[in-house]
Amino acid sequence: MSYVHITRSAGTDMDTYERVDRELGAAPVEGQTSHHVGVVDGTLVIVDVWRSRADADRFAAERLFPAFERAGFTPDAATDITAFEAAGARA
Amino acid sequence: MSGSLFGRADELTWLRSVADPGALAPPRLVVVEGEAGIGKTSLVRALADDTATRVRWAQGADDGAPPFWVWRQLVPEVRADQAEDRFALFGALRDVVAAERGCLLVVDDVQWADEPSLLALRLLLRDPACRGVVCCATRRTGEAGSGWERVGPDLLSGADVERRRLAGLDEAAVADLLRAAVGRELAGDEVRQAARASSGNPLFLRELARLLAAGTGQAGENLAEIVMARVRRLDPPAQRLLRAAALLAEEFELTVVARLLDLPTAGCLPAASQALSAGLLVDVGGGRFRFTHGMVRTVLAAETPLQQAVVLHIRAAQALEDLHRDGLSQVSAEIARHWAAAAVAGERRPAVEWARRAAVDATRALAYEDASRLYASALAHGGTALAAGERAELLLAQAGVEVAAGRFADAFAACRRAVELADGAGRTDLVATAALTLDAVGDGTWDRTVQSWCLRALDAPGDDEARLLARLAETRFYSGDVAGADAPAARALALAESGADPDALVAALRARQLICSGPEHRDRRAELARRMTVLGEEVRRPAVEMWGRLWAIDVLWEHGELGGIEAETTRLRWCVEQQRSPLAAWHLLVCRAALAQARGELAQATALGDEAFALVAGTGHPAAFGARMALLGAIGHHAGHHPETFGPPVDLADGQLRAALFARLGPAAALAESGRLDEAAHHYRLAGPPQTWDIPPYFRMPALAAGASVAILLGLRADVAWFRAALADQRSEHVVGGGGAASYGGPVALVLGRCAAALDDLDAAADLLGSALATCERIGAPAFGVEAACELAEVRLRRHLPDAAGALLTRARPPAERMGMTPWVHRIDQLLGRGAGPLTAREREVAELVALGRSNREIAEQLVLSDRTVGNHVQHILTKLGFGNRSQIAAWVTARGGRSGEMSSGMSRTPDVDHRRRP
Repeated sequence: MSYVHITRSAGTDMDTYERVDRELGAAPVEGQTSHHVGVVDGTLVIVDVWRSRADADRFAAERLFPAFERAGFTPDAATDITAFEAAGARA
Repeated sequence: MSGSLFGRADELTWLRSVADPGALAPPRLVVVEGEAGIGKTSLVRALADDTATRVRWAQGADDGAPPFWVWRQLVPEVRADQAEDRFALFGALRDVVAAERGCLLVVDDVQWADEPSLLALRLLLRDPACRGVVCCATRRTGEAGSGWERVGPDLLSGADVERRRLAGLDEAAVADLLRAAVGRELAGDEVRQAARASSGNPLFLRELARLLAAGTGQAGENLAEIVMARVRRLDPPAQRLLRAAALLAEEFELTVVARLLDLPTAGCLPAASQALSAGLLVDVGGGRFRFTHGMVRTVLAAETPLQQAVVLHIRAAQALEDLHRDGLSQVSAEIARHWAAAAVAGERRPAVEWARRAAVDATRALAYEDASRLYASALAHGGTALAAGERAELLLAQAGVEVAAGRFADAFAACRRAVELADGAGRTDLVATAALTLDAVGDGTWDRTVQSWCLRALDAPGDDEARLLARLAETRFYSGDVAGADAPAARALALAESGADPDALVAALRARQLICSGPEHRDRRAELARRMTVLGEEVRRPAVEMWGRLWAIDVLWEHGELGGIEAETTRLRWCVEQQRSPLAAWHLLVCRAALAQARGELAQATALGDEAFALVAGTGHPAAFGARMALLGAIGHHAGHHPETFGPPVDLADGQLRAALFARLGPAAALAESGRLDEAAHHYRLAGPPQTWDIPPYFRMPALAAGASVAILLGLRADVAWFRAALADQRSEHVVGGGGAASYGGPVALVLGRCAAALDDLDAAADLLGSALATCERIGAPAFGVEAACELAEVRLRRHLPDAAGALLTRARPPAERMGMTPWVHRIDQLLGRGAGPLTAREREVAELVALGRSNREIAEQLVLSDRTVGNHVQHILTKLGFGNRSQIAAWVTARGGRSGEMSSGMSRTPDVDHRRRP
């Protein structure tokens, strides 16, 4: 079963996203099956699909948060996150 | 049995028996242990519900709770942040619970209780004043907060502790519980399967029963799955509310959860209501809710994705800051916890700032261990991003609270790291702060290090120069460089006197007093005492004035001015009463106990000493143990030694190294005087040859006197000669320390007289002991008078003056008996039996009075005897001595140094060498 993680960060732009992304580096992300990003009405929306929640949390703790710090980005309290175990998927 | 309890009849019977707070029973700790959900709280609740005793209930909470959280719940009438100091706070808590004369303190989830609260609990459980107090704690096994890790093992090793670990319910109890919860009889297979899956855990079983009742569950699922299944049956808003609340605390405010969910509080009410109906929350009033069980929260919190948790922690911190802007000190630790949780995503600065702020609040509330943990949190979250100077500041703040908590090694380590960082940052001011954070303690490495910091800080002196000089003097003094301490102490005093900082003047006076603590500086200390007293009066600080009074009392002891001590103690009492601090009260009691001991009021001295020790026992105050041992040793010298004074020595690895000498000599003297010479010799040898002893000036007289006493009893003539020479110049002085007398050791002439006798210098011995006898009579130290009389009598026996010896002994026996000097009464009787005359002690008394021309009736009145008994005594005297009339008895007494010698009046007639030296 897949684990879907959707982040909506109002006021965060693609430049910021790319800054963090550069800090993440090119190494493959373990357990991530897809990653989509876009800006909708001024809100950065990231949709990630993971093999499991554990993969998502491990990535956040070990790579994403340190990358935030190196990029000088701090999560905003208004960030909205929706996450769920997908009941089904269509290729 | 309580309706909600199944299969716990034996456990409840046990709990009722061990947790009965009988009014006169010593305080007791009862711990109910077991895994989460095993029914610990329910069992204790059942006890609390049907006891007639007053029950006070508290819940241990993990990081983020306000300081002294457990005691805030148990005794809300005492506020930690309003107490003068920790002694006062603990004293106030003790007074409240002791006044109940029977009280049940429940601490649920004690494994999460904060360290300061556990320390206070430990103190109260070891305080004899807390009779009738029972603390019943529940402890979840396998989990522990930092407070329990540090204090828990010690609490469990206390004298009166009862523990019971709850096991899973047996199958019959499982069947009973399921029947009650599901509402029907379950098949045997279902019960067995449920019992196996749950291992008899009642929480698990109740959750399982809900599913079985709804027809939706399988007995094979685990507890987390079952709890989550219950949550998932709720509407989405209720699920969101519970997940958000799970990140806050076991008990939470709905308004804060609403901020997390970005909803108005009223908008959360339907969701909260649904969670209440589902039995996942309970309403505790005031807009606050609590999870029905810690397991529910744990399971829910683990469900929240990490990124979402970070965002919610940021929201929680901001919400608390906003909602409690008028009372942030009450929630600063909670805010710090949320920012700490958010710091993993790079938001470090708020984590540092709030941890620092919460540490300051904890310090103000006397929760030093919490403060230390919070400073450590600030340092950890700031990491290398903090500038060296800022890290050093945090470390020094942490060292300050470590000192307050009595964790000196940790304080020293923090100061060392801080100084390294301060050096790198060019912050000499922080080196000065480090030097002023740590007192000189008598440990070589420690004192040398602090000394080096003082010197470096003094290269660029600032406002702290006087205090740094004072600290430099203290470290040199404790390092043994007494001469090198003099100049900085004098300079500190001169600087402080020319400045306007009373704290600097207090520090300078204290350093000066320490350096002058030897007997040769008695007059200078009298002047320092006067100045400290005046300073305290001027700045209206009784604590400062108290030190002046205590120093004045020390000087009076050295003069043997017992009457003056009485008067000064009255003034000291006022200072103590103003402070309302148990530590100040301890000083007063120590003074009063020593005075009672000097006056031969030995039972009173013991009672006062016990009262003093009870005030500070358990606090780890470094002076408490030494003062008690000194008093017990002095009382034991006359009344017989208490086994407590035989050792073992105090922990030599901790505290002042010079305490090692005290730790050897105290037990050595007590053992030697009790006839256990081999053990005494062992302790004495461990102290090393007396010529090599490193004796601090304030301990010089007691150390030499104790050493001399042991050497005499062990027959070590060379050592006795050395002690005699070392004390020779002090012949007119008294055996007391110059830095806080906790006991009186008698005139030095008495020690010297014993030394002379042991060295067969009988003329000198007679002279010294006669002088000592007179001094004791003059100052009102009758127990030492008895001692001097005995020693002098023994000298007279050796000089073949049995009658004179007998007269002394006969005179000394009644007061010895009256004062409870049992070993001395035996010694007197032995000496009388050794040829101090044919008469018994009573006959000698009667003969003395006959010699004064008293009639039988007058003698009977004076000795509280019947006329007939006195007549019998007189007849026996006449028969034994072969006389025919009373005038012959009078002549016999006079001829043997009785009424005209020192036997009767010598105590006041013998030349008083002390008198010539008194100012």
